[in-house]
Amino acid sequence: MPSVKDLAEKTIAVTGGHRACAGCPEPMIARWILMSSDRPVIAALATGCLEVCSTIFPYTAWNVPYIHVAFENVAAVASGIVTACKALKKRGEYDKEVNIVAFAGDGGTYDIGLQALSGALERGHRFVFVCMDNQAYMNTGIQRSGATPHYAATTTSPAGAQAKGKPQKRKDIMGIVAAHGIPYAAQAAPSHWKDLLTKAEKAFKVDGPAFLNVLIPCNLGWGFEPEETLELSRLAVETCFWPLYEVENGKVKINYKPRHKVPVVEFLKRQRRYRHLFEGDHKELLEEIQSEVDQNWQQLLSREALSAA
Amino acid sequence: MIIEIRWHARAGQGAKTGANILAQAAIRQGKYAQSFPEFGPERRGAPVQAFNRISDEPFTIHSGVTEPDIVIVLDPKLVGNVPITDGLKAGGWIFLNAPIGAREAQERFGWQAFRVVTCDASGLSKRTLKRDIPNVPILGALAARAGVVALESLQTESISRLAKGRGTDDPVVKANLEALALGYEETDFADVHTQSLPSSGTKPPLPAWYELPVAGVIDRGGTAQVYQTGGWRLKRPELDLNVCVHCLMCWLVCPDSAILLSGARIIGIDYRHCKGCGLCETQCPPRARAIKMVEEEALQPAEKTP
Repeated sequence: MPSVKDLAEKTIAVTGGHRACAGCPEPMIARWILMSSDRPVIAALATGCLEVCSTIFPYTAWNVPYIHVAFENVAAVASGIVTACKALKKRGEYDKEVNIVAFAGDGGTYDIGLQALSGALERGHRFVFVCMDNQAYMNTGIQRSGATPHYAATTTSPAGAQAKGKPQKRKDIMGIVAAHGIPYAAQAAPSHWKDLLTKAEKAFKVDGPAFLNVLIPCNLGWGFEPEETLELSRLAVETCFWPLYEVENGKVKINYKPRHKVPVVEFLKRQRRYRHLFEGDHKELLEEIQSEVDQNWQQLLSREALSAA
Repeated sequence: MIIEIRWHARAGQGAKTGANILAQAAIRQGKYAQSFPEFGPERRGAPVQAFNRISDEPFTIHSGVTEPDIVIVLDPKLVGNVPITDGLKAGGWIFLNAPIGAREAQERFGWQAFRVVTCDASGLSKRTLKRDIPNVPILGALAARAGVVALESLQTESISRLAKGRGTDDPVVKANLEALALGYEETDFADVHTQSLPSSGTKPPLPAWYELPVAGVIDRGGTAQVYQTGGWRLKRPELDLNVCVHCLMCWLVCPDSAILLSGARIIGIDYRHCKGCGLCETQCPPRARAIKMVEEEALQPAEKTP
């Protein structure tokens, strides 16, 4: 893992002057990931918060070659860049070793971008796909996505007298991606930055596709104060709502096991999107969320045990 | 005659809602009215605009307001950062949310050609609504001084909006009406005392189409640094270099790359870009506590970088 002092020596990959919300960790994480690469990086971005707020014409916050593409096809475009570099090398017109990274939000990964992602993973291009998972379509005004967790309120899965937020569960994107048999897939969170930097570095070194699913606490969409961003991320990890783990060549490894698993309500009650669960008696819904978290954690533990065997 | 109004605010301050209340109130009085916001793909804290047109006769114009009769400014920190007086007619009105006198504002910002009304709408809102929502008191001020709509129709409109399912003695409804009434009463006014309009600044001319790069390619990296987001700040990080241990955690977590380094040492904060999120303070180690967030003063200029 590069140390913070090492990073400080490098050129800032994503500069200030972008127009993300105050406290949004996306530009910071993009910077960390780009700066953990040992080679020059080319970045492709799907439409989403990060793309929209960092490249308002005629300005760009990116200090690396950058291409913006549509919501659905960032993985296809990244594949194209990988292949173009290869073709140019073959013709003797290009000789640089570069890393290609694709960034997309959860919409551009779980939902709209899934087909292109699946294709790129199956073809086995050497690139890193980063999902900035803020668990809803925050860019367009907080609509539910395949990443929105159970009972979270969004504008299209509201909470009221009849509905209690999103009635469906979140997709297991890590499972979907890992099922492609790619060399490296990992889940990370900004509060555990050492873990994130290690994973980014590993992802860039893999010979083939690598996938990073990074939790993005969204102060606007989840409903908390900007300075609580990293605290919310820490709670997501400590409650096992967002386990930090990796799947390397099919082997599952949990990178962080909380000594005392914090009850998930500690994470939920800090956010406006779950406020309805704390108004009136919704004990059974809270228990349901807790049991889902426990179940996922148990499954992960047993998958890890299986991998070790 | 159509009265045209332009609101300048930050996303989240309620300019869109304020404009909407104003239009609905005008319609209640039998007038014709429009209200619509204008914002880019930007975020909470970014400068936004909203527009109103109010007339006794039907009208068909639907574009943004470029030559307003009245400008309403909800965040005084916008003055100097966005073109407040652009297109404003000589003798036009400026309603400024600031805890200063109207004459002072006029002198300070060179608004002698305009009629200036100041109202500490944020202060009044905090007093009544316990939150900084300046749009309600400023509407009171508008009714008091420019008389576009009557206070009564603003009151009726506010009640009908808020009282859905609640009675008129609901505390939220009451607090809103009180904020409106206080805005109506507590204003300061300064009349025009020069006819010459201020110069609209030195806006560089837009490039012609043939001067633009093909396909809109931006040929250099990091150009966003030209754009200053420091004015978004509500709180300001104060850095004490005497106790800083140079762990670089603040630098690591700053979403706006606003912690300035020299080698691996922290030398200051880039207030042109810092949005005041406060993450640096939360990561500053307890043994150092070198960064403290303090309230940003309302009228401080956005740029303070050494």
